Amino acid sequence: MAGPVRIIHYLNQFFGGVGGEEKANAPVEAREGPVGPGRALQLALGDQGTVVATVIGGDNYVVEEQSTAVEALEDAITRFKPDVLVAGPAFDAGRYGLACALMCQAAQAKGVPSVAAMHPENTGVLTLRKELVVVSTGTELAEMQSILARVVPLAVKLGQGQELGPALEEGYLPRGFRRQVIRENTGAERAIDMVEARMAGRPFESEVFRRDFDLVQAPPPVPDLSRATLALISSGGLVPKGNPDRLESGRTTELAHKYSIAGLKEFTVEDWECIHTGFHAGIVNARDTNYVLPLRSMRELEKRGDIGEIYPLFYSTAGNGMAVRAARSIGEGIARELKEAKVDGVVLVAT
Amino acid sequence: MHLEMGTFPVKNIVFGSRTRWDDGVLELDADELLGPILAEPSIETAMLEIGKPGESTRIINYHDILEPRIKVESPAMTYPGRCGRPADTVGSGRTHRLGGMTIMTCVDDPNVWAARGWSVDQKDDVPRPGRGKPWSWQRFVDMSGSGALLPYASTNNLCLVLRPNAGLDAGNSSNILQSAILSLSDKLAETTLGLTPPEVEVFDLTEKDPSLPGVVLSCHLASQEARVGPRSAHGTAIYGVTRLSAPWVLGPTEMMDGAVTAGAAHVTWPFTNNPIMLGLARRHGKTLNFLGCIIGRTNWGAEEEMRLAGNRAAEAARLMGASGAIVTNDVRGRRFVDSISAIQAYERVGIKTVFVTEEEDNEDGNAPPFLYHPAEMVGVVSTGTGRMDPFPSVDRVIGGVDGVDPAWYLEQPYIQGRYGAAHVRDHYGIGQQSCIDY
Amino acid sequence: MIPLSVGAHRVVQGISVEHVCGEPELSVERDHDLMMRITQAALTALVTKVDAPTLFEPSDEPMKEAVHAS
Repeated sequence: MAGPVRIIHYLNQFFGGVGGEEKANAPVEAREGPVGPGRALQLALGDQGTVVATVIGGDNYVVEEQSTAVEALEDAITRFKPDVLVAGPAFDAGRYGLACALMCQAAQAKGVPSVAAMHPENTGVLTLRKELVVVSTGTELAEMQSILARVVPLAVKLGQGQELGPALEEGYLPRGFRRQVIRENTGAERAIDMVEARMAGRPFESEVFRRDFDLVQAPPPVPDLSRATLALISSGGLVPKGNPDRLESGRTTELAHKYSIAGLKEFTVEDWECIHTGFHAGIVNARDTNYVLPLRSMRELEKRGDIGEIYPLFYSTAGNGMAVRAARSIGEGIARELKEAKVDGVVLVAT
Repeated sequence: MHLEMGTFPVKNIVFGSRTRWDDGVLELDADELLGPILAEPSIETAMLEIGKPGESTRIINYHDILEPRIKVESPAMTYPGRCGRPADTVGSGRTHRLGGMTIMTCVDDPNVWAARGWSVDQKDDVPRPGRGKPWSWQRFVDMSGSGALLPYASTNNLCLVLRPNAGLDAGNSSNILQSAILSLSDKLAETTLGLTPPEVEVFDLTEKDPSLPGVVLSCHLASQEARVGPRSAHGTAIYGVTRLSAPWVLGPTEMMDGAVTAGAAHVTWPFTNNPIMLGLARRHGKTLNFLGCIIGRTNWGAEEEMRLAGNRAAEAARLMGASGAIVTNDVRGRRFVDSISAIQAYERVGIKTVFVTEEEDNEDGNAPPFLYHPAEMVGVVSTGTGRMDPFPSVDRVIGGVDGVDPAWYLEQPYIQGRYGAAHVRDHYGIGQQSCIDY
Repeated sequence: MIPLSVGAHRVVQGISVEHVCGEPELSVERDHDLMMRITQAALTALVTKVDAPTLFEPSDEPMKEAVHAS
């Protein structure tokens, strides 16, 4: 598509000139043309694009009155017909960053691509990383020009309906998607070049970055074990001998199987077995099945009164090569059931 | 160490009245070559077939893939320690190799390849042929088309297709299969003795330039000891030893002479033709010193054992004077943790690491590329996650003694990097495929 | 290593992949005692407040007292 791209620029109350912290509840409004840093954005765009409108929202308002804020943005989209939304830069302001993220998400839902700019650890990035195209910034206002210079090529490309290339090449933060690529050199050559660079202290680019799993808040401790119900979970492929329900030995996808241990003092090698093929289950199956789930010790502690009671069912799955999404849904399923059954704590043995 | 490697390129393999190499053509007397193999009582049937680059051919059921190499005027033997071969130290003197070809043992065992047609093994997978043996559906080589991804698509492959007797255990079976491939390899490589190699490359790693940094190649190879015992012939071996041991220190030229061999889960070819080993050897004395190879065994059960193994590898590297280490792995899952223990140990003693590895299925951005990514894993080269597109249908399939399941001729579905699913298996960076962040 | 890095908050150190809650090289009596100490470490974890992934190691000596919550 030829011609300058039409841009709506999203700013918070401060950068939009509405006011400071006291105006954080300002509702979302739309104005024609660029405002504040939008003028610098227009300059950086030259004839590649036009900032046709600026949408300004209070940081608190957008996050707390999300649906109304989104409606206001949608109205602006209908009115100004943008090709792309540019949000921020929000630097390290967390509420502003989150508001930018939400506005971008809303625009994309309406078919308008978007690009935001903020610090890589801004809440906006941490919350919606997978959905957003984000230009990384520092924390200083003085960077404004250089940030906008990096935003412009992405805004133009997106506004023209073009597909973006890899994150490092195009200058946006990796969203977490890994795609196949054929590199210029073989893996061996790249490895030798990389080790030479590392030994010489020269800069290099690793091909995989650290990525955190979702972090969950730690639940509080069990207040009184002697009155608590504890449930047992095994990811070691522990099943009744013969595997009657055909638990998969690897790459399991379904909810874990449940087996009764009511009145059972311990697992025996005659009646139970481990079918997990990711480790050599011979020892467990010959010597002591309780290695994989210590029912014998749990029962002793229950008898002594250290534990209130052991939940009469245990959950069994095999963790061998399980996809993360399967693990997540299996875990959520078990948690739901145990919560309903008013279980106080869980002992999960993994192999 | 000083090794003179003479290459006899093989541009074509043909069947004829005698076995000889002449000006790039390897002629084979099939009956003469198969005789000793058929004499082995545990082998029911054996035949030779040839898969050439560019053909619409798929080779299935491969057990081992190796390149014929032979020592010249030496009491030592290539592929030492295997199947009763002497375990004398290799890696010096002269070696001849038949370049541009491989021997593949293709094992057609109806008890193992019991499933016929298409079936689904794992609930969230698509139907695939050859379901009898776990992961069997990943072990094939396409000689042309978009699925010709492996280095063997560019080599002339002499396929020894055989059917062993039923009921052999893993160790015995491996021994028999390896004996067959090695005796064939020796016979073919022997045709070069007394001839002048058209290409010669000298690997001289004896002198070290003190102004250059030292690098080790640190490979981690799984051991099946827990399952088959310490003295089994089954699995990857160093000088014929498969057991789960402390790290081995090898000179690079020892690897070129076949000190590391495989079969079953892995194949031997990537060790003698290891591109990292060759790349480092070729830069020796120019930009670095290639100090040696540290081979770690994996499948340790306890974390302390993995840490100890990692520490020993790092201590060996430190004593050798290394400033850098290129680390590789061969099976993912828990063995990945072994490699990581080594990386952490190297970094702790100041040795800079680069980890060459495949990565897991990204699950559309929902799963991280690795099981575990510690802070020390700063330099990573990714060899990708397999193939996302299907493999086109083919006209010919090699690997069956009396024909193969028709399912193998058809288009095969994608094979990508969900843990364990591995067709490309590029552990040493031979290809350019990789993954990148979007 | 892995459970801590994935974010599991209460992690008890087991013995080995092939026998997480015991050691077959020990006599049956000492092996059962080891399993008890590992299980008790799990109970200790359940009653301990944690903010970040924390590793709990089984005690070395046989525990003379049972674990009480209060």
